[in-house]
Amino acid sequence: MMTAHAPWNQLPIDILSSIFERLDLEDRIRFDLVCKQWRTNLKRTPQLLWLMLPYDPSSQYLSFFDMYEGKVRKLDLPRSAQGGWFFGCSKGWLFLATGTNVDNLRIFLFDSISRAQIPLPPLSTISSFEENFTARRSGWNPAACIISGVEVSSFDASQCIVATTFYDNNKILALCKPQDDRWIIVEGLLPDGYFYGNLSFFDGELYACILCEDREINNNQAPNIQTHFITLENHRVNLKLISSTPPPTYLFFAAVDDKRILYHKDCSRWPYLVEANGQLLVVTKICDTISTWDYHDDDSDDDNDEAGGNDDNDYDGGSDNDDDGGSDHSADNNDDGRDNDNNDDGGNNDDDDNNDDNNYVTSLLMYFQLATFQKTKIQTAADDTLHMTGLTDLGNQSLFLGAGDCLAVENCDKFDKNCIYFLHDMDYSSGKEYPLVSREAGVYNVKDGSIKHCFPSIKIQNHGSFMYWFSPNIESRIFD
Amino acid sequence: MGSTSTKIKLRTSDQKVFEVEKAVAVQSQTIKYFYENGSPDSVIHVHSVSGDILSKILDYCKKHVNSAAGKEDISPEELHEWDANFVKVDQNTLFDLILAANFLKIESLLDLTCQTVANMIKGKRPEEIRTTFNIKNDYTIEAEEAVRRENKWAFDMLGV
Repeated sequence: MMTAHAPWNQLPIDILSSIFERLDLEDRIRFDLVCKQWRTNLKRTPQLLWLMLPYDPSSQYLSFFDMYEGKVRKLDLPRSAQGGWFFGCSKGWLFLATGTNVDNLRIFLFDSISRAQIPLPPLSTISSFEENFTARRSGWNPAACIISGVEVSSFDASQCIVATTFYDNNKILALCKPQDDRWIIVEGLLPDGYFYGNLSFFDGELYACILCEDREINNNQAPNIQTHFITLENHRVNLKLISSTPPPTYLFFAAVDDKRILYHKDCSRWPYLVEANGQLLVVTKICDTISTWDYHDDDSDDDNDEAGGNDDNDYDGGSDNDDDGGSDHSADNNDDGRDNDNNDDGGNNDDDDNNDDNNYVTSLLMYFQLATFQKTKIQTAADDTLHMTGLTDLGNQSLFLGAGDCLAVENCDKFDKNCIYFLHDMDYSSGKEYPLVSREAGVYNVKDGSIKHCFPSIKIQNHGSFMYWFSPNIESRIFD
Repeated sequence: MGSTSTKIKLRTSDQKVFEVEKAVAVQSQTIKYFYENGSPDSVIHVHSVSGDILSKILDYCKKHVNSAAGKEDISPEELHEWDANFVKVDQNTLFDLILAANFLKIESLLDLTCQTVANMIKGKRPEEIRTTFNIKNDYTIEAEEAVRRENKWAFDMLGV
């Protein structure tokens, strides 16, 4: 029998791992500090999955909901990052911007864990930036208004490539390395009528979904993948453009309450790229719209308060919706190429009121509601060409899709399998109706198409008030 | 069926010999493998397990086999409580049980003992964990400081 103390510091690695896996994040970090063997012999910590809660620029910290452990975590923001705006995240980096105009705008990568800040080249190096910038709404951060998508190739800031798309009709893609002086603009690759959607670095190459909203242009709906080569300093970046998303059909479905509420099917399609099980998936979110309209005659327009979610705003319809054709009811929001500027058919069906000159129609709200997801995977054929194959099932995977990180989690009992956890990531507003309340976050069940709205509704005030999936990179620090 | 008559002979590190009902012994995947791949009458050496520990482990296996076979009228809650009492042992015994469960490949016992250790770690500061398990702090002051600095975020955020 053993009389000395048992050598707990010499437990075999697989037993240490088994114990480690039963601990939550806090205890894992303490575990790490017990002795060298416990620290160095451990397997990697599993990927963390946090839901970044809407960020308030006046706040001194960021709040996250830890999806594995079901608790809210708060991370202090250094003073130099406070008051800034958050506009995306990728591979453990948050993208932040501070400043209020072209001259003092600073955009940087921020690691919420180490609090490292890595500056990115100024946006003023992108032509057309300035005119875009000045056209934005007041109170909005310029970077959050202009940058629509961000992605880094790796967590290692000394190596990584940053890819960004812009709301300037979403036709510009820009690349940089964090230490560069300027962005490299990638132009002229898109066919007419197309714009950029989601980006993803996969297997060392940059994949970008491209979309077209116009059925006339997009008559060839066969999925297509083109490869381009871009030189960035000494790097060559392979860019693969994927056009697999047919334009929406805007199918008119129903009108109620004397056409004050209209339903349209298939009004928006937005593809997400997500790496799952070593494969790249293209998962397309298809939304219907519920739109509410106000029919004005003369000035007696204060009696129409039935618009869902909008209370007592007094719409100044004359400023931008002054013809009664109703065809431009989302015109003031078409900077957001992927959602709101594609609903023109809706209003056109109902301009049959009497033709009194004083009558006009105001869009109160354009609410995009998730209808379904289409799933495809990208496969490499024997001849090295890429093909898209439809998927009916996600198996044991749970996908997490939204404006931030897009992630897949395999066979985890904490999450519903064969399901897509989606977040609100579209600007619903018709221009003036902030704040809006969005319920468009939840869990979509691939098997039966059911949707569980299990996340709290959030108030949308601007892009920065979205929620994002975020996978912080703590591994490299704890276990190096 | 006559299964009660089949016995497996086990010899421990301290040369104690146990004659064990087959159904109980084959809870161990390691013993099962040796039994199925050796001659039926030979003695199986479990040379990394002492007699005291093997005796405890066989108690565990017997309890679970009898419970599963309905030979013993015990509710899942009662069995759970029995398990909880089973691992109420001193640190050295727990350590030996883990290694033995690992060597003998008794999944449920390994699970139980690892969970017990995890529960003993939960909520404790590193110093307290070291005391509990009698582990010497082999970090130099500088190295520990470096780890703490590296994990500063965790100390700030999580109060580790």
